[in-house]
Amino acid sequence: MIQISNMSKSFGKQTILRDVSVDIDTNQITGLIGPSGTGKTTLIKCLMGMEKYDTGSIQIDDTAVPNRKLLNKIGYMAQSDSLYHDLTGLENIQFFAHMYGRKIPKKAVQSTLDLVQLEQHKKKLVQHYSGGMKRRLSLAIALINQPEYLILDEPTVGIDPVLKLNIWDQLHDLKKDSTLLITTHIMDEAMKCDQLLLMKNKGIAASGTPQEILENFGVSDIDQVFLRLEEQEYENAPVN
Amino acid sequence: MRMLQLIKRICKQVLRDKRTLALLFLAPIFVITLLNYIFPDPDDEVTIAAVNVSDEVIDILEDNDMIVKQEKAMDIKSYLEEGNASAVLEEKAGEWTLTILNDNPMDEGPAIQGSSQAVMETNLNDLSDNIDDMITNMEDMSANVEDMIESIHEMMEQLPPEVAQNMNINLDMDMDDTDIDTDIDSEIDMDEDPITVEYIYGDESYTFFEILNPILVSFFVFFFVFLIAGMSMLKERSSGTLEKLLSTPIRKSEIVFGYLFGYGIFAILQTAVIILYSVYILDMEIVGSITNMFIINILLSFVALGLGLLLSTFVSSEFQMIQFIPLVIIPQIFFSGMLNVDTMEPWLQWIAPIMPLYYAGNTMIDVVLKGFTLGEIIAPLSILILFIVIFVTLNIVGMRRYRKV
Repeated sequence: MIQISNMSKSFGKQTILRDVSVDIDTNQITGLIGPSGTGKTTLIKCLMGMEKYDTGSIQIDDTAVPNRKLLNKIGYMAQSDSLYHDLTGLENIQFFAHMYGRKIPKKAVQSTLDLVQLEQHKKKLVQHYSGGMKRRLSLAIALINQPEYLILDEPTVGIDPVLKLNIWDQLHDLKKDSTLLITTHIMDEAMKCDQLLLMKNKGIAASGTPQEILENFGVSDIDQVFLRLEEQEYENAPVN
Repeated sequence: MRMLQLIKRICKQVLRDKRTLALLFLAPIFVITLLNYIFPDPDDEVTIAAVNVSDEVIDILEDNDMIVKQEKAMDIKSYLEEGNASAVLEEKAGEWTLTILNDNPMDEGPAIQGSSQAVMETNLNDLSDNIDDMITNMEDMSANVEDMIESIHEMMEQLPPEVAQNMNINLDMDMDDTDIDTDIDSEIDMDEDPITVEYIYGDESYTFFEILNPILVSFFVFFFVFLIAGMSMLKERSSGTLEKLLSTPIRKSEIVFGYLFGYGIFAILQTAVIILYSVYILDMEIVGSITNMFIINILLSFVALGLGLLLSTFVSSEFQMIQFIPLVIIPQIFFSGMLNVDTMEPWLQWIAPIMPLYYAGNTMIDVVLKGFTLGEIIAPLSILILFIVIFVTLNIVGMRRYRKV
């Protein structure tokens, strides 16, 4: 269980997140959606302990963030492909596996490679990989420590539609053992999440299952929710 | 455990990167070899063109291992520009003129020195010839005086005695006293050196390269290790792998030490290659122990690693990393023992002690040329260790930028 309460974060004078409070339940996929620049990545970096939040608190399984040992439980996939281009795919996986400090069984490495369909490319240097292959390898690396929490920042960018569906099926399978937090701005992907957190105006503007949100706003797709939010903001704006 | 894996990964990456390997091992060998041959051998002969110069001067120049070309009057500038000689020596009505282009102190220095020496020697020879002539003249004169006295005696004997007594001239001069001492040593020996040079360290065969080489060994270790450590950390950061690495439970100190030892292996290998190549292939003479050379440079390479990693956190591109070279690397050369820090401006003398190469370069000279023992270089070595501790600490603290725990 991830509990964020009254958390704020600003860089200098610019406030990125203001008074964010949210609980993220276990064993489901929570989608963090919103236009770019609304603080999705900052929120994730605060969760990881990479950025320090200014006020409030973040707790994962009742342990306060930041905490180094907590990272054992978390698998993280950044927005950019964080791979060593001069190592092979397999070497990348093995290296990061070792960083978790415990022995990762060969079978786990193998099944992860199968999951992202990189088995026949594992001996290739990453610099010869296509964009989609790199993304899949990054995903495989995030899964390698069989984490309780899986935090994925735009995981399906550049992955072809067939594989994307495949990966979403796999992500739903992972729910058995993990809690997933996924950022995306592809709205049809948002519909595949169990819970949605809509980010807007430095905080969470709406939350609930995709169906609940659509009903609340009386619209037929998520894009329109953001348009509604935009209109509300305009109406509420003080008239000078 | 994690650190070992990090070291293993770095080794794999460096070994696969043939260019980096070449930069680490072949580049320093190439440059050191070049420098070994680029500096003129002190035994090399300098060519001087002589215009209207007496054979005597030419003989002296040639005795001093210079090649002398006898030329007629000509356009000196174009003659020198064409590279026919390093200098042109001319005599006009007793006035000596040496013309140089003033663009190559390596050859022109000896030319000026040799020529002025030759002209001076000739002048001295003339002077001693003149003295000889003078002595001959004086001898003639004293013979004449003796003759004169004798003729006066004869004259007086012919005079009546009372006249001679009235003249009251004392002619009982002792002829031995008037004999002018002609035993002046007019032979000034030109063959012997006017001054004997005693060498406390080494001997006259030391070339500039021999003094420079120990400093260069350290410089290359510092430069290449700095560059490679900085670049690879920058790559780690810009490719996002540092962030990914910090999303695992690895300690920040494990990353810094992993980097330090991973690249440290190559730094040590590079140091060994440079030192062994200088000593065994280029015949660099070392008075002190080769072990001490290793100790200095391995410590220095760790300083360079720490500094490279640290500075890479302030840059966002390879080009910005290169910008540190004129700021951080080049100034250190001036303080590394090539120039005497004690004679610099006072404020520069304050800068010297903050430069790692100041300690390494000067200590290398102490070991290689002066044969200092480990006990005698313990102070600068401690300072290098202090640099390492400071840089490592700053690096670990600096990692907080990417993860707060």
